[in-house]
Amino acid sequence: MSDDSFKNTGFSDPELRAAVAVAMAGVAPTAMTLDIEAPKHWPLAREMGWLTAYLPEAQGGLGLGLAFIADLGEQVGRHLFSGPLLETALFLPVLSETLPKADALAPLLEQIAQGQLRLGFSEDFGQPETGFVTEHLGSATHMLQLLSGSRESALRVYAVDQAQVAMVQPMDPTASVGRLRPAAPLFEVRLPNAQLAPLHLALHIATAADLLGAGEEALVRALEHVKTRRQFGQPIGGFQVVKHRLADVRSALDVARLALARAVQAPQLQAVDSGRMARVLAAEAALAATAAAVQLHGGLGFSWEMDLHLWLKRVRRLNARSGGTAALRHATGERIIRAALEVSGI
Amino acid sequence: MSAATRLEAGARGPAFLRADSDAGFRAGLKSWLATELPALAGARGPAEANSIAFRLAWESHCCRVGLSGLGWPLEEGGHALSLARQAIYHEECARAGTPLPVNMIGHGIVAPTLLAFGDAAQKARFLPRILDNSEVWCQGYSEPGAGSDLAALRLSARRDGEEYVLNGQKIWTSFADLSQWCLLLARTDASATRHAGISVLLVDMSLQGVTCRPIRQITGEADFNEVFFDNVRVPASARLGPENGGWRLAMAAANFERSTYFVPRVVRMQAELEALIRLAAERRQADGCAMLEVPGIRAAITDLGLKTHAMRLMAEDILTEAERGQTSGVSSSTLKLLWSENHQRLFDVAMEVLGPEAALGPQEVSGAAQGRWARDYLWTRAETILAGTSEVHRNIIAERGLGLPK
Repeated sequence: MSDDSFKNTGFSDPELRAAVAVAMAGVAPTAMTLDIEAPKHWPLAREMGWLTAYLPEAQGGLGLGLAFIADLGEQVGRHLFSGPLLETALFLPVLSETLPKADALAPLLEQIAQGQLRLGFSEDFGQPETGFVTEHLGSATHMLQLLSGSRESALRVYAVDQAQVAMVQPMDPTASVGRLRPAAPLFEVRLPNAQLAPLHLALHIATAADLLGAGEEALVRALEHVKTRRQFGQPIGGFQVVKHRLADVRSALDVARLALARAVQAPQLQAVDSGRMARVLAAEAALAATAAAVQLHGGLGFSWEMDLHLWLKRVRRLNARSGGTAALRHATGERIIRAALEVSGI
Repeated sequence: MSAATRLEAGARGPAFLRADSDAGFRAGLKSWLATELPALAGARGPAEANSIAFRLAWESHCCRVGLSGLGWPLEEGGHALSLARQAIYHEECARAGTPLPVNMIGHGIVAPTLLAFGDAAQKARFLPRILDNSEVWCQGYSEPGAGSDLAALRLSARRDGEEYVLNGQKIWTSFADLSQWCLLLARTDASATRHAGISVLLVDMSLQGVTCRPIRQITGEADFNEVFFDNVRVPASARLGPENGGWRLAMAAANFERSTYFVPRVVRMQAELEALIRLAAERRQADGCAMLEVPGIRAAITDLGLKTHAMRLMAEDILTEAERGQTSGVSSSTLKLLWSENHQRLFDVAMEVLGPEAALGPQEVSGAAQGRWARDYLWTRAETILAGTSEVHRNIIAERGLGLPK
């Protein structure tokens, strides 16, 4: 790594970031050893305080903000971290503001914050008749659902033990998926969309960061391979067709990183648009990176024990979330076109 | 430097340059452009307003009123504008539809190279005439046998007392025929290995033995030239930097080119995308459906919007690096690639949007915007070739950025 293009500079405090990276590297799975419940991951998240990282200090959290969430997300993607870590961290502030403090639900917040209860997560996609496709359902006690309407959105909490649950084979072997047909929610709150904008932005940023981390790691592995694998008397990384494909992956990741950094710092007014664009660009980069890593490993890349498929599948899962990147891309395009026509008064 | 000089330097140009706020700067610039551009353009349509003659006239007008050297230090006669204000400047010029400059090599490449490497005499001789645009510059890099492999260049500069004697040929030299000066790469040591024997010379294009031959391009225009040097004698004082140390300067100049030179173009692309969206909203298919509603066109425009956003962020990042004095080797390659390939794509989409009108040639004034879309569609073929082909930049990213073997 000889030049300045590696802008892997992260988003928040370097020491915090390094601590996250070291801790996660210590429990990173491989394809041959992985256990979908990742028994070491959740205790680590609790011990490190990551679950309450985004919760403001006034509400008992660490108040570390979106820059730290971006760093945490990147390491989550790089090291194939399992479990609803980012979702829990991001939903805690809104749950803390809206969950009733006095009735039977009162202990819920504390238990989620401490990691005693685990959340499954679904946005408003999937067919209700076949059940909501829910990530991390395997060990979830509660399911969180965010239903977006045109003016307001509903946030619901269901008890998994009161719902019909059918676990399914997940695309990503590091994240359980199930179909859930819920009974009545334990809790529901309707909020104007403007009030949920910070949550949407945070979800975009966390997902983009997870994608970016997965893409960066796929590129690292592809580079290691093409520098050492020799064919026709030379490392295959010396062939221009290989170099150019990886140069394009590098550029796409650089762009995604800049877009993510912008979303983290963006003023509130444009923040959700900025986050959405970062997520689309990160998905594009991560899809390209993981596909290149598999391809450039040749037959090895297609083998289960090579691990590369874990990032490919993770990226596919994250790309599908929230109705898929295609829907986010569409929303971005509509905004760009509307803005251009408004400027010219058409 | 005396306080009086500082004041004089700071006082050059319209008052908005010294506005208290960025918003005041933008408003002042906008109203200046709204008055000055129509006044100078008169009844010219898009074709004439983008002609070389008008491009040069507008550029010189701006420079004469003091709108040049925006980012240069005050002591060199510049305005030392912040990056934010320079970006606003390019943004508002693009929105107002100002024509592209002609002396891009002078302002974008020669000036920063002189500021970084020139001696006092060279700065005093050349910088004021770039500031007022009275001297146009070209850049003598490529040769028939040295294109992507620039270090293979052969044009020889043989030392003869206090002079160099130049013999050889350059090619693809933009605007050589209307330039007074050339920033030239020449071989001063024939025995040295490729990169080691090269020097940078500042050559007066009116010297005896210099011949330009314009090359007709696929646009029908002739901006590029072959330039022949036949026993041209230049003084040794025309050398920029050390003898045989030119490669480092050339690479630094290339970085200026890809950062300070491409950033305005990146900013311009936002305005060009907005123009494409308007074009697509206005033009209809035979069934009456606006081209903007055609799914493939809409998807392509969305992608261009995302890439324009990305490019803008990268340009800001490079400028921030430049302001901190860091060189931006690999990221400037990334920006050049992103810009040139997406700019080309923008005009590919425009050709689709034009439908049957895309069969009209670039000088056909009955075409959309008097043929400008067709002309720029053809012109953007050059952008992935000039200033390092896309292939060369991908190699730079792979080799210097990713450490892959040469």
